[in-house]
Amino acid sequence: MTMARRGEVVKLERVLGGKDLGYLDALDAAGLHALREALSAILFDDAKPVLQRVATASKLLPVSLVAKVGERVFGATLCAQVTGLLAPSYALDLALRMSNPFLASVSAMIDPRSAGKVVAAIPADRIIAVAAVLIERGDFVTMARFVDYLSPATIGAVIESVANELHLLQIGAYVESRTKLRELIGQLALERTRKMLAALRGTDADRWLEALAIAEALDDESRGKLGDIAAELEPEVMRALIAVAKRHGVWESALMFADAMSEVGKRKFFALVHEATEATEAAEAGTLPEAWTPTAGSESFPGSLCRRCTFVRLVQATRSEFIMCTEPTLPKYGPQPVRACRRFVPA
Amino acid sequence: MATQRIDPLAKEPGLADAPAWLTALAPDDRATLLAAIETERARRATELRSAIDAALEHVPWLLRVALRKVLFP
Repeated sequence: MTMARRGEVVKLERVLGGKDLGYLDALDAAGLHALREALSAILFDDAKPVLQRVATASKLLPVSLVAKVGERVFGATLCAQVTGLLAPSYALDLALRMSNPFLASVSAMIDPRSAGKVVAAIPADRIIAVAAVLIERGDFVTMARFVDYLSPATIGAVIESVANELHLLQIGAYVESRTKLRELIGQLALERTRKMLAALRGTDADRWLEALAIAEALDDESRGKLGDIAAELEPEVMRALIAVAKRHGVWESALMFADAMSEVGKRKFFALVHEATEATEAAEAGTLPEAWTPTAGSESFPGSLCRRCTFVRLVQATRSEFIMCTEPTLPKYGPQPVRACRRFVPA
Repeated sequence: MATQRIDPLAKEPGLADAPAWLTALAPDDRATLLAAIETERARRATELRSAIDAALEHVPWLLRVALRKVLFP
């Protein structure tokens, strides 16, 4: 399951009351997103007349009482639904009277688009306090949903307050807007980026898959910076990435990550891939590139025999081209240039 | 004579236009989705009514009468 789909499943489960969504396996992330939007509108429209009256009635009571009743009686789901129907200044007044754990619960249920103005007006220290509760609950999806609605200064303050770099990674993996994700990564200090990538070494595959999902969403320049930082770290970090790429079949993502690196970074990465390949059985050679040959320019190794062979497949990455062999008994990515080959068949 | 199976989601106004992404779902899965929507709709309606009734218990009697008129005209 892709990270985008995983995020959509979590959000849709909340809309549909936490039921198992196995019957929606046929939908990809975009389909689940469209379904969630439609269902949120349907379910909200059903309740809107009553919720609107609740919003009107709340103005007849002192704001302190409404905040108290909202938190103790109404609960997070209903408060989340009513918020978008209140004047932003009134909703803000109510929110500031509620506890941080309750605001965290409301955040998980609210549609950020309907409460964007309220969220944006909440002081940074309250946002940080609520973020701390969400992190404690492991609710990175909710945090990611609000990144779009917070100012760069508030985002910076939240980043500062999050002590564990892997938590930042988990938030980043679920951010929907690529522009905001770039901003988020851009705000991360070099030292913290290093720590985040170094911490990946000792984690499970999920964290690496999240890191690759983030790398995919970035532009070439940002991705290249991340890649070069990873390449500068101890080789165990890259070895861990290569192991995940092999185990989970995410070579395309790993290749995209490597492709954006500087030549030095690429050489380190490919050397480790080669090392990993040598350690595997020959039978596995077909699933793991035996040797990567980084190239610059679209016409790499023009003199290679592969270029004239029927078994060649040219794999285009953003800045490099990889020569792949489709002959079943040979390694997919052999050392280049090839001068002689027993399986050569002219194209 | 062949009978045309009616898409259960056609009963749901918000999804009646059967957007392209819904075509990926098998008919049985669509029926399950419709049932899930109905269940959630009923759950939310009950929750809303219960929450309003409970909230009204927290306000003085006279105000409660006024609020009931606003909430349930």
